Amino acid sequence: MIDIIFNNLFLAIALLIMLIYLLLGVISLVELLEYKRGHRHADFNAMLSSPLSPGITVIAPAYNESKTIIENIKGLSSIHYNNYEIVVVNDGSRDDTLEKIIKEFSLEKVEEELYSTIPTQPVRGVYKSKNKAYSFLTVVDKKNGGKADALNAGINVSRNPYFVGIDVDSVIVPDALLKLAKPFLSYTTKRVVATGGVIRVANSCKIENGQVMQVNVPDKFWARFQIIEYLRSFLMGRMAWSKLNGLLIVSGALGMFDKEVVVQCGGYNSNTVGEDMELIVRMRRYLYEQGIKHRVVYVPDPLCWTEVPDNLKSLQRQRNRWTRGNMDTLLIHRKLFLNPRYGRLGMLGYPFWFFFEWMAPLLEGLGYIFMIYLIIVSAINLHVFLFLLAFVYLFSVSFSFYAVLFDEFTFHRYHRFEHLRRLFLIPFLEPLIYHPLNVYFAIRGNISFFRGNRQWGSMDRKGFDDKSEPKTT
Amino acid sequence: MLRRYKAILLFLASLFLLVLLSLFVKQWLLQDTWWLEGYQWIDWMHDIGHFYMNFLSTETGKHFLLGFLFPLLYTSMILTVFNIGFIAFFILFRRWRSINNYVYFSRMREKTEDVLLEYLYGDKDAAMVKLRSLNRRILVKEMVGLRKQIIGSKADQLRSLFYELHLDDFIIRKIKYSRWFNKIMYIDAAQWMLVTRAEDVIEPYQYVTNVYIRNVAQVACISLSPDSAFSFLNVLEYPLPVWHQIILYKSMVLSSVPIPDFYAYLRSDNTTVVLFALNMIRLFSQRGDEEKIIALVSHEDPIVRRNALKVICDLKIYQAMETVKQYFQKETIRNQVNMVHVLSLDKTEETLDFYKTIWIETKPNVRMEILKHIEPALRKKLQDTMPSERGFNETISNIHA
Repeated sequence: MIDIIFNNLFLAIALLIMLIYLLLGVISLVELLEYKRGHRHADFNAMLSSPLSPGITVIAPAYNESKTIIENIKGLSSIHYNNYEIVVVNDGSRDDTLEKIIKEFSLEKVEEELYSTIPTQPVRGVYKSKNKAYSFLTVVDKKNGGKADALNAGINVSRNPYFVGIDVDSVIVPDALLKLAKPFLSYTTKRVVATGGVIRVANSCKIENGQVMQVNVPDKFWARFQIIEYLRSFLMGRMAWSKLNGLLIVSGALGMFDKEVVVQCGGYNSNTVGEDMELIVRMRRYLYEQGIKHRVVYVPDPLCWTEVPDNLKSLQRQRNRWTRGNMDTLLIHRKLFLNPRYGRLGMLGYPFWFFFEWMAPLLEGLGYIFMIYLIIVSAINLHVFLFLLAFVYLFSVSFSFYAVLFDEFTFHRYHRFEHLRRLFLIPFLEPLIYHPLNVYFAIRGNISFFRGNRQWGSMDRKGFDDKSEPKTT
Repeated sequence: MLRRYKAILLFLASLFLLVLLSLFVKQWLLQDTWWLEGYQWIDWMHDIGHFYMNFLSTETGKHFLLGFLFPLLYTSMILTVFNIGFIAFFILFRRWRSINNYVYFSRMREKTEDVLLEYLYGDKDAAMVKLRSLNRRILVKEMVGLRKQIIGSKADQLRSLFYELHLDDFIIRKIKYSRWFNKIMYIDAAQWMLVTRAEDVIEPYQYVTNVYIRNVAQVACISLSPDSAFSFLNVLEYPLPVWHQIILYKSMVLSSVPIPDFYAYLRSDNTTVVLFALNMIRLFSQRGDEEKIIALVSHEDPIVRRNALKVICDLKIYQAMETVKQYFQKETIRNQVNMVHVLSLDKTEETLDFYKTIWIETKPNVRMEILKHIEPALRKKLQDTMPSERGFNETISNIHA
């Protein structure tokens, strides 16, 4: 009897999951096409010269970024926008990050009025340039407190109604602010409180002066797997959740926020490793409790290029952290789970993340163990097993192909035939190699979480310049 | 309505088609043979499915769900295999086509540009012959692009050429019958080429639900009918987001349309129209019935109040001081900061007295803003009169740190 229930229950769950993914894919496609068509003639330049364009603060936390900080700041200064400031927060770096910035941009300590709306680690000083050409730059030097704490310090110094949180070592495309700001200015009935853009993989791309000059498919397979994963996640997942107004996350690498709401919610949470997701969930929870209609919007344009782990060790650390951050947020805000008071966030977004992001890898891990057990005791029905395996494998491969197709339909950044040849191989390998590994990392993340690990971990970044030595952040 | 649920409908329609197809596949699999029997390259599909149908019929107890859904799953599987191949082929084909299209359109654009320049600065008659044979869509695009870059007599010449080539009829037809995202381009062309005949066609689009068309139609009507340029503001039911305000402002600055009296819109029921009017009054420094602006200091919407305060500050409306003081304590912190900016216009002892009365209940960051915006002499006085107040001293030390 039990095996009958198991057989049919597992199949029912698997089919339900596939149907949900298919539905999300269809919603994303419709949204992407609508976005693309609606923005074909959008006059973004009008924002560049308009006195009605809101001020935006770009906050870049930096910790031991000495090797790349100058180039990164120069890259940020080429952003197309008329009313923005850059706040670099030196989060107690132990190298000469601060000294290098001071020297390069002729900074001097200023007497800045800090409202300290959000509590942070002590600020040692605020610096501004003596050179008017760099008047857009403010540097905050503070005691180390982590990325969230550094972002909070940046918010405290910010003078604008909106801010963009970035990773200082990511490459932001020049029109990123225009694209991110537009939803804030276009909303009609629901207040837009945060926007995020698509993050793309920068490994092996040619970067010059802080800008992507030539897009390439990474040489290393681990990074290539992540291209497909990111395409799927951003173009097929988050676009749909944006439409459904059930988004729970805006990537920490690039996200724009309504400062007023963030400050009212108390800023980033420094006690979690998933501060980007936690902030969004807290903001949305707060707004639901206040009865304020709101939206978190995803912009499908590729606005940010980031270096992803290209070796197993770094990948494991990153996925471990993501899992812990995810679990932390879901546990902190467990009140949302299937709670109709929180609208689609509580009834759709949160349960999806709970089942698909937290529980699914665990269930899948159990499934692998159960399968091995059945093979050992020869209790497996080989015909049924092979059919279902082939079915799931083909579904997974086709889903990845759809992700590449979505990119082709919209922004086709991988435009050379060579790129496509490299990308076409990945969907066939991914379900066999990369996906099981990710399941394993997620399970490890669960174990680390319950062991009380709250560390960020480190990632070996090679930097975008091939000649530079690898650095650890 | 249908547009809103397009994705769900598409999904349901696909599922329905899949179920229908699977019914045929079921019948196919139940047959022992079929008309392509013996052709190995395709027969294996039937053989595998047929085998599973027979196998599952003997295992109905154990795998009843799989037995029931097998035709559906098998159909999806076959479709998926074809799909993967099709998508790969489609991507490659599209890439090849887009490269060819790019080359073709670049060449066409260059050719069109050359002929247009020849018309404007060279042999008109020869250029005219060539222009008549060109693709009209590209021609419209290029002419509008060029029109946006030139002014004066050449711009007028370009506009006459547009009419001479009967492109006005072409774009009116396109505005009427093309898909919504193409309409945007042609409405924009009508605006730049001043196709006044298109106004009747464009006018209803100012009130449609599609925000993209609505915005471009509103902008176009400003240029096409200067006499009733902003009449849509009187009847607009939909909100006018800041993005639209930016585009409208730009078109006002670029066009020679007289700026309307925005004070007339300050009592609109549509809050976003009031905001637009306030923004325009501020940006164009328009003078009018200031009482209307002062009345907005007590508006129910905090964003309207904030914008009213900005106007009061920028236009230096001194009569508003008493009203601002009256509502200061009831305001949000952000608006209180704006109020401080307004009150900084009034540098008298009365303002100091006012600050003394509200000091204790005021939040520290507003106090800091107050201290930044009062005269040093008044700041000293404020400091002297309340030396024992702890919060005040902290604020003072912070600002002087």
